[in-house]
Order: sequence, then structure tokens, then C-alpha cells
Amino acid sequence: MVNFFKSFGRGILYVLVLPILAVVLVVYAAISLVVFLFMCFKGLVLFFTGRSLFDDLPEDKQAKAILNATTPKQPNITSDANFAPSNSQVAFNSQPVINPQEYENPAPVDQDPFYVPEYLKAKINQEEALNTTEEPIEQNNISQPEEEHVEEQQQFEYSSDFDDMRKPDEENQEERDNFKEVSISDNLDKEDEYNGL
Amino acid sequence: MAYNLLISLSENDKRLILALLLVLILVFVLIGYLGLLVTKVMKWQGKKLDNAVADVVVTRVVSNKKHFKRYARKKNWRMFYKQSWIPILIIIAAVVFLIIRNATTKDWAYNVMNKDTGFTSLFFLWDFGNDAYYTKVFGIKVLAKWPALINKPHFVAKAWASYIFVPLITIGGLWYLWSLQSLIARTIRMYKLSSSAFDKSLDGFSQTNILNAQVNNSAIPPQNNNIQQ
Repeated sequence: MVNFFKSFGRGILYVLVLPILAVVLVVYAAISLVVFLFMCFKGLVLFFTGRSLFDDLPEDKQAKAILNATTPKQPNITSDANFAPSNSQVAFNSQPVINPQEYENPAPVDQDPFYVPEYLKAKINQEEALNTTEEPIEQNNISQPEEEHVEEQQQFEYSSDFDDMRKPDEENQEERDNFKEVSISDNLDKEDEYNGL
Repeated sequence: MAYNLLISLSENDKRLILALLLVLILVFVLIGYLGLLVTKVMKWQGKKLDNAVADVVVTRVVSNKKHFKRYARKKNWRMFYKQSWIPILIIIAAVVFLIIRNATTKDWAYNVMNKDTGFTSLFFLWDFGNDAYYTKVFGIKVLAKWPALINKPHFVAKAWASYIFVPLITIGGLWYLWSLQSLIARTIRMYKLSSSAFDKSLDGFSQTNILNAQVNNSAIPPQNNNIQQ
């Protein structure tokens, strides 16, 4: 009932305001016709100059440039036919497809600075097996922290620009010296001999 | 003198007045609901402007009211042009068609809404123009009797031009009215957005509330720091 009377009141209000609304509508219709004709003429002129009436405004261009700069680009996803399974239930994500065959033939030495050829790995393993001795147990029973072994692994797995700034590890100095004595060209020749070339 | 002002109403007069009042109330209620519908449609039409100006506002390319209104006005007219060129074309086509018809038949006084040779030949028509069906109640001319039927729907070959012209002009006119309403709605939305997007408001802000939230989350120490360690 309240809504009924509200609508009745609204109706009276609209009837009273209707003449003003009609005048506004007529004025807008007249202005819009004039603007429409002007835009038609402007569109014709722009058409003959090779442009369009609906070209992006300078503000639109700036906004698009900002939006393009902030949105991350999608990496190119290429599927390897030799690797991809036939039932195609693999979920393609943003990570690139890894070919396991690459691990069977590692990168040559000019691409991987810590590349150790197979024949040298075998030699190192033999030397390590001959030279292994039991280290004396320290009396204060302080165990070696595991972090040192992690650091040791990392030093030989990757290289960075800050290698020169690292403090030398005295415990592994001997091993490091052994590596320094081996040159890359020697390795290439010896690798050929090992592979029977 | 005073008794001259006394009004004597018969039962019929009373029933007529009550019926008129009810009709009047219903008409106002209908107008109220129509107005509400128009308001809601205009709000929906106005929201289309948000799509056009969102990128520019979000990326802060436009950072003040004046620039926003200038930019939004351009966008608004562009959208109006895109919406209205078809109905204007239809109206122009209808008018050109009528002019060609009048020029070929040399009948410049042709009335497209004539009941004999015009579009209204397709409708039921009653003789509302005849004064014999009206009476005066309190000086106001009121319908006393339902008028007689003067036309039943039928096709007239001579009215072929009006059968083409009137539908075209009606469709074009209503379509143009719709795009004009959209233009007005977007203009209103532009003024609302210029104040909501660029005017600063402290409604609901309270420094005390922020401080209390920070204390509860232990972001800042409480005021009493006499803690013995």
C-alpha cells in the first residue's frame, strides 16, 4: 500500500516536471542534430585525409601504452612432438617443455663452464676411493653443519658474476687446486681419446 | 447568496465523480511506474560510459575533473553518433520517399493520417470529435456517451505511401529517441563520475578506528609501556 502511494506521489511529481523534461528533450534533440551534422562533415573530411572519426584519442593511446607495459607477456609455448604424449592429457602451463633427451647429451664445455667429461669423472671417483680415510672425531663433538655441504655443491653447480668475491674455502682448497690444474683444451683431447676418436 | 453556492448532486453525478477520481489516481500511479522504469533504464544506459572511460581513469592518464569531463564528453558524442546514424538514415529515407511520392502525384496536401486515404484506415476509430457525445460538469467538458464507430480496419490502395512512410518514421523516431535518451543518461553519469572519481571524501573515515585496529594487531605498542622484562 505504501508503494502504491509512493508511485502515486512519484506520478504527480513527474506530471509537474514533464514540461521541463520535454523542453530539455527538445533542446537536446536540436543540439544533437547539429552536432551529428558537424560530425558527419568532420568524418568526411577525415576520411579523405586517411584518418577516421573514431581514431584513438591521445588519452587512449597513453592508457594503452601504460596497460601494455604493465601486463606480463606470455612465453611462447612450443610442443615437442617427440616428447608430448598422444593422449594429450598434459596440462600446458607457462613453464617451457623440458626435453629429457637433453640430459643424456649434456651441453659442451664452451657452454657449461663446470662441465666435467665422463673420463675425468671416472678418474676422480677412483682417486677418491683410494684416498678415503676416516677423519678423527673431534673431541668437542661439534658436528659439521649441513649448510656447508650445500654451499659446496652450489659452488660447483653454477657460476655467477660474484665468484671472484667469494672467500676461499680452506678445507676444499686442495680439491680446487686439482681442478685448476686441468685445462679445457686438454680435456677436449682426452675426451676424444676416451671416446675412441 | 450563500445558498447559490450549494451543489446538488444526483446519484449518477456522484458515481461519475468517484469513477473519475479512481481513473485519475490510476493514471498517476501508472505515470509513476513509467517514470521509475525510465529512470532505471537511464541508469543502465549511463553505465555504458564507464566502459569507455575506465582505462583512462584507472591508469591516471586523466587526473582531474575538468580533463575528465572534456574527455568523457568527446567519448559521449562519439557513442551517440555510432548509435544514431542508422535511425537518422531511416528518417531521411522516409522523408525523401514521401517527397518523391508527392512530387510524382503533385499532391502536396496529402495527409498521411487520414482515415480514408491514410494510415489510420488500419485502426478502429470512434467519433470523439463530435460535441453531441459531451456534457459540461462544473464547466468542464466531459464525455457523456460513448461515441459511434466511424471506421473499421481495412486496406486502401490509395494509402500505400502512408503504409510505408508512417512505420519507417515511427521506427526511426523511436530509435532516435532511444539514442537521445542514452546521450542524456551518459551525460548525467559523466557528472556523477567526475565527482565520485575525483572528489576526496572522508565519509566513514575515523582516525580512532585506525589506531584501535593497529593496537589490536600489535602493529604499534599499547600506550602503557611499563613492561618489566
